[in-house]
Amino acid sequence: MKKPILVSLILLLSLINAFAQETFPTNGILDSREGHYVFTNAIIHKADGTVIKNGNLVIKKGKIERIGAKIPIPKNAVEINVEGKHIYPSFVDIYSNYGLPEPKRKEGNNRSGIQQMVSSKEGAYSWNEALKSETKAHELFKSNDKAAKEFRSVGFGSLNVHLIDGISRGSSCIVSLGSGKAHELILKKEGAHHLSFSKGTSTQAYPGSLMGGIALLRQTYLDGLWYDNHGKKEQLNLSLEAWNKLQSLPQIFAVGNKLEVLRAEKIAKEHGKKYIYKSTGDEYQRVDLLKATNASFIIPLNFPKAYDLEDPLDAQLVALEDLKHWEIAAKNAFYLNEADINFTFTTSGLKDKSQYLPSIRKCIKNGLPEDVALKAMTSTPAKLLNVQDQVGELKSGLYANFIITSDELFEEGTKILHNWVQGKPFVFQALSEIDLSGDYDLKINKSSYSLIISGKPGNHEMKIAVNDSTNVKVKHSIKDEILTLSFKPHEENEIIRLSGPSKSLKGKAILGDGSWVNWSAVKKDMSFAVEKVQKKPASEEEVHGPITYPFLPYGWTEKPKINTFIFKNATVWTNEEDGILENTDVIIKDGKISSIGENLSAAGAIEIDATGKHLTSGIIDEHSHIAISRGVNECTQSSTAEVSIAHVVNSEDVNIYRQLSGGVTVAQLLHGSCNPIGGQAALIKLRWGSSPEEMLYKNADGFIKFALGENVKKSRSSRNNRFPDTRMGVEQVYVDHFTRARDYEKRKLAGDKTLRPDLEMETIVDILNAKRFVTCHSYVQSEINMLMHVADDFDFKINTFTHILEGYKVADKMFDHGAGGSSFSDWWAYKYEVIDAIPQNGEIMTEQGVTVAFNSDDAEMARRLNQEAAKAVMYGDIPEEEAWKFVTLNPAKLLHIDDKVGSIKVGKDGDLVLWSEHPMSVYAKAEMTFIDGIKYFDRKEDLKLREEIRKERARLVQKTLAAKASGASTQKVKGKWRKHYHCDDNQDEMR
Amino acid sequence: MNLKYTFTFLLILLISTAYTQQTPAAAQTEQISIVGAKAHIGNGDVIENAFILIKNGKISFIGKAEDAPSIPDVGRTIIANGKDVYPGFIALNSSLGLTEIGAVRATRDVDEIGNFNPSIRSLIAFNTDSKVIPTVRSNGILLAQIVPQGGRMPGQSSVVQLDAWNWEDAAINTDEGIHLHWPRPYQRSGWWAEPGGIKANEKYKTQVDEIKAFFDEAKAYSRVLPSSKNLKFEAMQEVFSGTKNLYIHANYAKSIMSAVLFAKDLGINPILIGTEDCWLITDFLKENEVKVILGAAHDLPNRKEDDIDITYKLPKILHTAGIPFAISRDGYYDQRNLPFQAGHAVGFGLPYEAAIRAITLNAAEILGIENNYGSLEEGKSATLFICEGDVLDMRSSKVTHAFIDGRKIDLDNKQKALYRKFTEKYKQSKK
Repeated sequence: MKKPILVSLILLLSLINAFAQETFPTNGILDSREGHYVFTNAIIHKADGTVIKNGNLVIKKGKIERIGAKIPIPKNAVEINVEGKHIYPSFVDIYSNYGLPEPKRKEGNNRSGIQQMVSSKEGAYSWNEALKSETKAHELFKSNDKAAKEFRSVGFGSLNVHLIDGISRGSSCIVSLGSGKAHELILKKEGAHHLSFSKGTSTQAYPGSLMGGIALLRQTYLDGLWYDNHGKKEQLNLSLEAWNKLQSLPQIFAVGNKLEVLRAEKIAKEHGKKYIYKSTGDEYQRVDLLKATNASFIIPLNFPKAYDLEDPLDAQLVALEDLKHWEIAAKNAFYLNEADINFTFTTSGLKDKSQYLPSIRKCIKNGLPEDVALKAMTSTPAKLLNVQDQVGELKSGLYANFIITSDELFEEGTKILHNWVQGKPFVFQALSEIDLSGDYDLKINKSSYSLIISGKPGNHEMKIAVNDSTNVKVKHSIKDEILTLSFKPHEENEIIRLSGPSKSLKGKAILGDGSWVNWSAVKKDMSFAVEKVQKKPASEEEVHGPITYPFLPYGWTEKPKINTFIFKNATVWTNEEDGILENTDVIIKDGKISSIGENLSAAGAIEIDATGKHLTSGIIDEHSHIAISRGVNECTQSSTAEVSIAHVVNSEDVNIYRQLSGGVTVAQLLHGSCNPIGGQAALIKLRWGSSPEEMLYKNADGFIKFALGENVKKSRSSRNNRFPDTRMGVEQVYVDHFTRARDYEKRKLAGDKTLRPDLEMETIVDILNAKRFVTCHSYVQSEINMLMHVADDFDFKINTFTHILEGYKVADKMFDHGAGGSSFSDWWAYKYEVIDAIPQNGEIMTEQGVTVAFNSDDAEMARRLNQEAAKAVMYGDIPEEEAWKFVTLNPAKLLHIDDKVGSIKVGKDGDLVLWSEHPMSVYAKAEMTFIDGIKYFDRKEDLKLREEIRKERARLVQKTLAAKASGASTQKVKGKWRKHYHCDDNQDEMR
Repeated sequence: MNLKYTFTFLLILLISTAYTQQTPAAAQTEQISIVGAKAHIGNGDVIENAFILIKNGKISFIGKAEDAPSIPDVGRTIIANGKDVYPGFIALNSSLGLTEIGAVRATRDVDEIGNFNPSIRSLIAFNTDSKVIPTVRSNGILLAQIVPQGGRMPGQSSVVQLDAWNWEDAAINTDEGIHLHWPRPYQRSGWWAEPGGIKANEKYKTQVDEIKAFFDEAKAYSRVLPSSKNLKFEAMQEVFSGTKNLYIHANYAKSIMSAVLFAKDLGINPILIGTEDCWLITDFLKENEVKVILGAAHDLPNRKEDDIDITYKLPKILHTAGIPFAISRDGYYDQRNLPFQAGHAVGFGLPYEAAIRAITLNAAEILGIENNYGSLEEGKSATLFICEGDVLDMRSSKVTHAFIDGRKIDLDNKQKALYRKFTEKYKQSKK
């Protein structure tokens, strides 16, 4: 059978299972076929970039046999001439849940206040329901014709599928989108281990925060090793067993934004893993940091629609960064490629999968090279999952997964005609369809009409030209090479219908009166006929607004630089023995305070006239909850010492900038007050525009949050099942954990190989050994007293009592113990345990020798801690200089950083604030704020930034309106919640 | 230090018993002269080296010391050179006396069940024995509007003075206004941990229609004699007759505009409360001659891109636009920071006397008590205080004397008492 046959005919055969499962019995007569085809005269595009013109492709038994330019046509092969058509490898998507069940969350387990402490899954599985390592996609996979068709019509041949549920989601499998039994559709049983920062359907409380999720993963890596070495001798744990097996697979980690890549990467580094990130399309916003991970990315194509901004007031809901993202999203792949980051695309997140190819075309218009795009759709995903010997390329031995297209793939209007999967054809449009475009003289009986056919095969548009300006629409269809037309030549006429072979263009027509007549169409003049589509669409060399750091209003377009500054004639609050110096100059150089004195000068320094102004060291907020991602509390256990805010610092919180405007330079980001032993703290400098890692204060002592009283008793919940429920129980939590930690330490020091490494215990051991320090949320004197006794019994010190509103009642005991107090200036009466709070608290504690700080615990108040310090003067008769230390030097002491910050002294960090007047006056404004000799805030620059923000927004609004006017589909306005945390926020953020 | 302790000890002897009972002051019997202070009248004017004469609870003279009648040698004379005198500050939109401890449900009497509750009266729940009130009073806040919260129409507010035996003698203007919380044109979707963002409130129109229907029916109710009484509608009648204020709480520009237009249609001049976004529509507010009670300025901007100081400078914006406004902060214990909030606005451009006016005379005018309160003028109630230092600046504010209707107010409070008690503890342990 050498003669080319019409492909449409063989399609009828495609339902037959060509390579039936050998183990299955045959009901009837065996019909075994080899599926041997040769595609001739094709333009073959390999994923590696090579193009074979006039190439032949031989496939057999579902695999590619040979491919090349001058390949003999095998005798037994069916020849399909695809002259002028293009062949590409079918696409591969490695982030999909195709063929897998939709995970469902059990309801009714979540009554207010009642926590599910351990997994509700029965069997020898993990204690934590979100660790579903035992999930095996290949055991759950069921092909789904409807969904498969959707993927195939887009051009996909194979997918890596996994159950999107849990923090460890178990293994994925690589499946074919062909038709047939699972036995042959599953190309590889185990594709990858999938992980995420989301609990999925788990109804268990832990982890309730991102930092909890991170701690859980870190602990699980340790548990896996322990299980392998020792644990399996004592117990069966199917989840850990599966977890250990999964480690040899590629690891795909789904994150919620670009910063979560960095968070996951820290886990990867710590445990020697390499993650492939399924990210969210915002990678361009911090491409430098992502490049540094050296990881590969799976990026979505769900570019946002333009917002409908016609109502100017409603339009205000839309955040500037969302408008900017709308503009830049399609350029993401371009930026990743420019940075030489390896990536593949996914349909995940696309509401309509048919938008896959158009979205990639958009990326190409935005500068992504075509060859890179093709790789990202085919060979890159295959290589990432080590299945490049199966799919993703046109190469002998690989599955015969390829598409045949009408034209070059990335050209507008190009259609996918066939998608062959495992050697079986799926046809969307016949290869042989004739290009009918042109002007025809259509004769029906005795009438003559001018028929104009435009567009490409499969996409033709037809009309009858009545006169120069009037056209009549013609409905048409071409099925099995039979053309059918219907139209109404004039308003008053009846509809004429006709049909005939599309090749000969003649046949029978039926008129409105029911009479059958002959018709024929003859092309008028070839030279006018073909309306050549412009080969390359005009490049949309779109300019877009600046990518700022962070990607928020008030972000930097360029990183601020370190400079030498000289402040002339300032009133300098040294916080040192010198006290307040009038008419004094201060120089900061190389990030440090280099000299203080009169009539100073420094070569190349930027001079700041500080006449009439006050210069102080930066404000230090001992108790802050800004700049934290996804949860300030891991509220789910009475001790969560294993979690750390340092893992979830959110460098993209506009409150960082706002607080710079209040003179804040250092903040301790504390875990909330939900449990007696809370999480570890993060100490940051407010280096606006830096990465989370760069914001962390270098080489500072570690701290941990403890808490007492109403919050840890969960007094606001109507019901509580978490120990403790009384202050009596709180003491026991401490005694119990410290006792356990000492025992743990003993075993560890004794070299006990059976000891399970425990991040929680490690942290508590550090506390007992004064390697990590406690800041304890506290209100009433009984509990403060209790904790100091417990600490004394275990021979360590409580470093700081924070809030400490009844500190004035036990200030002498605090002094004896060696604890400091970090309080509010004047908060009280908001709950029962603060009814005895007094604004003279700071004064009394100071009188008793306690180091006293005032903190904010509030994103807004932190902007005016200078005023809070002044309240110590107003209510407490504290001298101004001492009160000022409440928000500068004293918190520095409490945080063990007073050797570097907290006062103006030569050699200390260049963390300075220039105030418009006396810094403790209600009228004072921070005019400039410096950190490490870098100016991070300048009130005059701020005015310019506002203007830039206004202009940028106006430009984007105009562009959006224009997009809408030109027919772009839009989405309704949508804003974001204003979200900032307080101590007692404890909602589950791991869903 | 020793001196200080001795002084404190004496104070304990003198005041500790007086505090525990928070005894309201008796009516003025002897006349009081305040001499030499700088008087901030409340209307924007200032009198340096002023002489103020208080008789029978009223200001019988205020003027420059040199214009004063010869200083009488009867009664009490307070030499106040270098000090400042202000009209008693007025805390608008407060829940003083309705909430004692926020987190303890039993102590909250601020939010009644139901959506339309215009007959609810805050005054009768006002707890004159609240331990919070004296702490607020000590910072110069002598009058307050007590406002119920919750639902579309939480009820009626009253104006009280903050040194009383019970709500009856506290009341200055009873049931002076009805509060309406305009629906939000935008709503949050999703839930806290999984925010779906803020979108247009799809029920907005229904919610607005519900208000309109309620007001229409309430107004119609007045025209005919009803067959059965409707207490809610009864409560509304004085709003239509103009003898009761209608306070509309609204924050977004859109809701502010529709709220104002709604009220104007009914012939009501509403007073706005909150109005975070009023900077967008100052022209509209001006054209419609709307008075504004600004909400708490110690709040973060609504949008990330908003001017970082927008909440601090709103008073200045309204002042420049010539819109009459008062400064308020909601809540109870934190009302003592009202003066500093006004001071903060001065830091952001509001003239000092305008800031004083925003928490005195403007507030009094809104509350309809300006004939007797809100400024230091002859014939008005002697509700005023003396401050050593600048009362708007925590750096120097020290209220030394306060008078309500000429009665000298006890400036002690629970917190000062606790301070003394524990100062005593350390004194004992030192021995």
